[in-house]
Amino acid sequence: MTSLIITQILNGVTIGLIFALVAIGLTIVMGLMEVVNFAHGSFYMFGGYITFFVFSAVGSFWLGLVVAPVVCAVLGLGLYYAIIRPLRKRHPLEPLVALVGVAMICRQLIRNIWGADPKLLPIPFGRVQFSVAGVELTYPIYFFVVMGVAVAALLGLYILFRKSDVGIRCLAAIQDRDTAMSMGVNVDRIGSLMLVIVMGVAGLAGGLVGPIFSVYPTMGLELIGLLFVIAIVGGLGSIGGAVIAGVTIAMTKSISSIFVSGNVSDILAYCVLLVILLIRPRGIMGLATVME
Amino acid sequence: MSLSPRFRLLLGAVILAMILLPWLGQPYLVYLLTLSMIFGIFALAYDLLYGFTGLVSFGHSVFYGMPAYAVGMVAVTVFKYPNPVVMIAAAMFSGLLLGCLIGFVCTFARGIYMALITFAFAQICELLVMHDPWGITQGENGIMGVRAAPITLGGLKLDLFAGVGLYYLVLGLIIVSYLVIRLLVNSPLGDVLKGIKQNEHRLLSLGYNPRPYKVAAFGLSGMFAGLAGAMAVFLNNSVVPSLVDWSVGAEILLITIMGGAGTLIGPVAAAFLIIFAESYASAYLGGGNWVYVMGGLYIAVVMFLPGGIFRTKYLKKAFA
Repeated sequence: MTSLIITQILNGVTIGLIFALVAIGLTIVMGLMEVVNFAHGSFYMFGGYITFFVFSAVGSFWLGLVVAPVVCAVLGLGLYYAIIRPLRKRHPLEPLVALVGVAMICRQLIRNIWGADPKLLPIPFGRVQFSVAGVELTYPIYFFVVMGVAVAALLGLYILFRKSDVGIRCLAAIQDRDTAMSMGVNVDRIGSLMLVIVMGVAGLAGGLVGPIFSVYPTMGLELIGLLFVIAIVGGLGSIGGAVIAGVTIAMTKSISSIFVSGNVSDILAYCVLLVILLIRPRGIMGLATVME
Repeated sequence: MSLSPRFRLLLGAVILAMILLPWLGQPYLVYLLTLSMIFGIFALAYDLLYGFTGLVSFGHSVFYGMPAYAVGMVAVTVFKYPNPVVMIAAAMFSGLLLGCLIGFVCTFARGIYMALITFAFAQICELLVMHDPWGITQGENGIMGVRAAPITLGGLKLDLFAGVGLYYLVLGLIIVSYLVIRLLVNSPLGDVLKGIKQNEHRLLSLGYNPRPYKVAAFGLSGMFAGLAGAMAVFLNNSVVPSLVDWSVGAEILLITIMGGAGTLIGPVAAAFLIIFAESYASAYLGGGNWVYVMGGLYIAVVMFLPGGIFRTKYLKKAFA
């Protein structure tokens, strides 16, 4: 029992970090451009499929993990110029409609190319045996690698936002767009740059989950609801908030699934979210007043 | 919004055509038109909340699916009393109640945060009906064979709950709903609702507390959405968890924005467009490729018709 709980905690952390990695993109794009990027999940899916494609063509999973973010970043730039930029002065919900269209097309495109059934990538490395507080347990090494890569990516984003000039401009624009613009922050250009970065990160996350969940055409659309939850509960524009929200929700789900059935653990996760939102109506670390 | 005489004429012609269409004798067309009108009623309900009051809900499927479950419970699982009047009343009442309840909770927050709370409610409700803790929703299979007993008025037997009869019932209901919602938004209550959309702070400084009005908007919207949900049960004779799924709520949001929020007629027109495009595209393009048409439609409408179908300059000129 104890070993099961520890395993589920580790699973919760791994999956929560992945969720946070994808959700951060949503929160930044939402905070900065007031665009609810429904197609974000599609880039997570693209990341998974590109990794799978590279793996099946070359045989190297790690090369796929490098290629996926790059391709996703380029696709993200395309999305910015095709859809988001022309619609940036509209009511925030109008781009949402167009992006729902993009997400639908992406899913069908993938289904036409690779088929509807899931593609499982083999788990690299084996399992490791260790003991925590006197309890012996084995756990896949790959999950620790995922945690490491996710933490590294999150740290990278954190440094980008706190130390680099572009990141600070971006945060300023999230906090108060009009003032930032009047101080000479070019919100459009920063927006396009941020979109490219976060799409790359989403692609990386999609590649990382390939060996855990396998890749399938609806993986993005399935997750998008949960991603909105994490993005908004964490607070728009906040990396720390997204991590806390992501890990909290993933942990709630994974630990409660030991004791109750899957549906009930999902209900519990959403109840936790409701309570958080009612206590902190702008999210855990919400600083912005955007999209109110 | 007042309609120009030319537009009233067009509207009259459309209603007349709708009355005559079932005589073509194509059951599938009647089915599609009924479904479009049901979504039209749902879109009217959403427009009341989003287009006029400015409140965004990502979980409007709750007010469509849960009243449908109320109908199923009345008719099959709990009371076994398939009286259509009671079924419709149960749906509208449960929609109103749920609307007030969820409206009360989610109006603690604003904007996208509020929308997210509605989304969470939709998820919780869908999971609840799938989990079925009290044995009244029949889990993932849903409630099957929900049929209303025909009404007898004196010696006249009216079957208003299947086929062409249902078509005329829904046609009548959509016209009544449209008129009632128009009356509502043009009433003093409607003025307050529009005030919430335009400037909530100013409304507050004028001495109005916006919260009860927001809750009322949710309740009224829920009531009409519940009506649409009840009609959907009559159309398909079943209640399934996918009615509560948030994607239904997302679809109605898309329909309302496509049609032009705050125009009432626009969202109804968009409901027809979406339902027909969906069914014909899926009939002609195999293997799920109809999704390309729908996705393209969503993108094209937003790109080329800003403010929705009903706000285009062309339409304005034609019906000025």
